[in-house]
Amino acid sequence: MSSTFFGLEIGRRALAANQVALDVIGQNTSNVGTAGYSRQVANFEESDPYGYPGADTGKPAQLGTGVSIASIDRVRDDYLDKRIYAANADQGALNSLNTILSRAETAYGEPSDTAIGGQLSGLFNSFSDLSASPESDAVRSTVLNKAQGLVDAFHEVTDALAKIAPDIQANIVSKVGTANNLAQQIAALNKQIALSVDNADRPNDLLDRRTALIGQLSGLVDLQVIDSKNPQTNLPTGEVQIDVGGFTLVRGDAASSLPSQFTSVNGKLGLVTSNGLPIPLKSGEIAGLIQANSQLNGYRADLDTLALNTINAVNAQHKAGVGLDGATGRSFFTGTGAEDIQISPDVANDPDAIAAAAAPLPPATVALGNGDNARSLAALSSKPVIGGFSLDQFYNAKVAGVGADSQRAQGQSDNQTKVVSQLQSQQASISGVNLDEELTKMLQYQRSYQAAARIVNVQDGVLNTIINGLGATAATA
Amino acid sequence: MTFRISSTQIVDGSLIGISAAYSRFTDAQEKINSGKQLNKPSDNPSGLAQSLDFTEQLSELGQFGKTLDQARGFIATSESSLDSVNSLLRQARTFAVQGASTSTNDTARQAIAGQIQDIINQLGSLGNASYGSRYVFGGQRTTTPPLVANGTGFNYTGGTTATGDADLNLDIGRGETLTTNVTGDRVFTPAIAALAKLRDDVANGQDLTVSQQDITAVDDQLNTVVGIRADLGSKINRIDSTKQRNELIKVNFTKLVSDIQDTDIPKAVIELQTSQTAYQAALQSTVRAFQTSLLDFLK
Repeated sequence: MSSTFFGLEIGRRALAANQVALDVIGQNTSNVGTAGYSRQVANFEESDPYGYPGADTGKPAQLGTGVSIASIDRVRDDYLDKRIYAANADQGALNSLNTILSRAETAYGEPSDTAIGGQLSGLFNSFSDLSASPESDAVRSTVLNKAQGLVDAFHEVTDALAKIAPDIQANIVSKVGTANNLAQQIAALNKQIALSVDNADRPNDLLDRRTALIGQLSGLVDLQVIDSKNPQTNLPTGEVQIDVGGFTLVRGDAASSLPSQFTSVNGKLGLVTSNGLPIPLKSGEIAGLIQANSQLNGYRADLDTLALNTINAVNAQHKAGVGLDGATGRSFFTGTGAEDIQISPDVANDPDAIAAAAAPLPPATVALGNGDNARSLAALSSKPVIGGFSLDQFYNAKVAGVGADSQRAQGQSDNQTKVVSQLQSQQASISGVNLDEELTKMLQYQRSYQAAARIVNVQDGVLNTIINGLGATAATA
Repeated sequence: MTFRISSTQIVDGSLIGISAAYSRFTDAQEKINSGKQLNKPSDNPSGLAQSLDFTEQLSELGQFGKTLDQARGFIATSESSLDSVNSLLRQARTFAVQGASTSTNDTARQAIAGQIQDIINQLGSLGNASYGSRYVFGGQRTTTPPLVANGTGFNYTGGTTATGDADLNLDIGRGETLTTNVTGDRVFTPAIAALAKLRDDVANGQDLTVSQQDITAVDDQLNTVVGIRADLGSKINRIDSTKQRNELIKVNFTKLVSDIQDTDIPKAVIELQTSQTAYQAALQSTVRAFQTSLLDFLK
């Protein structure tokens, strides 16, 4: 036999449960625009039934006791999150690579007449002019001007590329700092989450915050998330472990620090701890920066190769020739690469020393009108002097290569952005708030609440009959 | 199967759509404004390599064009001097025929000898012809006059094959070398010697020598000059046809570079219009997407 006020209690429980459900709707609609928010659902549950042996039938029966909120769940696909982390890491790497490479390609200043390619042509053309007027001071000065133009172009391009490297290094240090900071926040959240799980709570909003932090961290480094659902980890329930390239960055409420020392030896990109322990990185912004750094070094090495071969080829031919003063064996350029190429002081201060003439056969002395060596110098422009390629062919191939690298990074970065937004859209489809849906549920809970209030009202009426309508009190009433 | 769509997705989707449409729109605009579709290497790496290659070949052809002009001017100067040499030698031959005639008296002979000396002097000055600041008949010794007066004759002081400084060579194409000059010792030295002998023989009344040897000697010189002029003429023809060929190639290469680097305006304008339409459509659909909500119907 149930108690007299049992009916009121059912009504009260329904009122309370629907109130909670409406609060959850309020929370969801409030956070419709909050990044990383996962919608929450109030799960209704029939409360424990009341043993109610039938008085008339003698058969046992149970009487429902109303409703209660079993839990407030966070709706989210954890597996999708892991895919998003991986996609974030790829996007981070490609984005930072793309940013650096599009800066690098502008360093070359192509297509233009004043870039290295145009200056190479300019120098060789001036040698050709010299072959037609070897006795002319004006033409000799022009040769020196053109040579200076080429030297300047080499310096400008290699300097522009060199200036990117310190920015990359500073960026790596800053990104590593951000990653370490995120790791500490994740560790702190691990602790809070574990505590509330111990108290049998569901820390939905803390979980959202941790997921958002891991999401940020995943853009920086390629991480592996091991959660406490995996029994082998021995992690306290609710905590996650985060590994980066085999290095445990977060375990429980403890966070380690990633080093900012990096390496790209033999194409193996990664960070190096102070003990020399490598932390290989496959993706993430930091890996992208390290890769960009190594590609930039390659570009500068190519420029050095071009400069060195220009120096050697021109010098070899120039040494064979004779200046207006009859002297031979002088260099035209000095230096070993793009950074230190200069016009040799032998000719820089004395245009007459430019060896336009071929060496005369004894006993002849040099004739001022001899431009045969200048012809040979001009002809170098189409000679294969770098591994079967002429200087400009080598240069064109390298610039096109830089362009192709940048184009590929752009394309891949664009694609990866689409992949990430696709995955995020999938996650949003599951965990995002839909206002129409929330409002519909709101109407439902509002009506349920009103109905529960009606139950209380009716029960009150029924009790009124018993309490006030029966016996002496009723008579006096 | 219906997908659940959250409000965030509608916002994100609209943003992505609008920014993509806008970026295509500005790209099309940029191509039209700059007139270039190749503004940096990554815009078209293989096209860049090609256009750099064509540009360098154009520059090389331009340079060969300059060299061809130089060579042509140099050769034309030599040729026109030799044309005058030719006329002078013909004049001298006429004088020789007069000088060989027995009816010519001594006074007339001396007058003829004097005229032949004038021709020798003119040859001397023709031999010092110059193109720009370069003496054309001095071999590689272009800065000093090759014919130096010596009494009634001239000494040749220019470069010779024997001294190894005869030829002025120019490259008029890859590996195509052209010798542009004629050294004075091939024309002027023998012509002046022949005329000097003629002058002396006429002055001394050596009729037989004049008629039997000296006229033949002048004829030989005329033949030499004709031969050299024919050679120079064929070089000028070669220069002209090379220039013509280069111009055709240049027109082609310039078009190829332009095809790669310059914006195809009609195509770009259509792209601009298409992308503008797409941009407007994205904006409109965004407005529509946010127009309806259950909130509108709740009272």
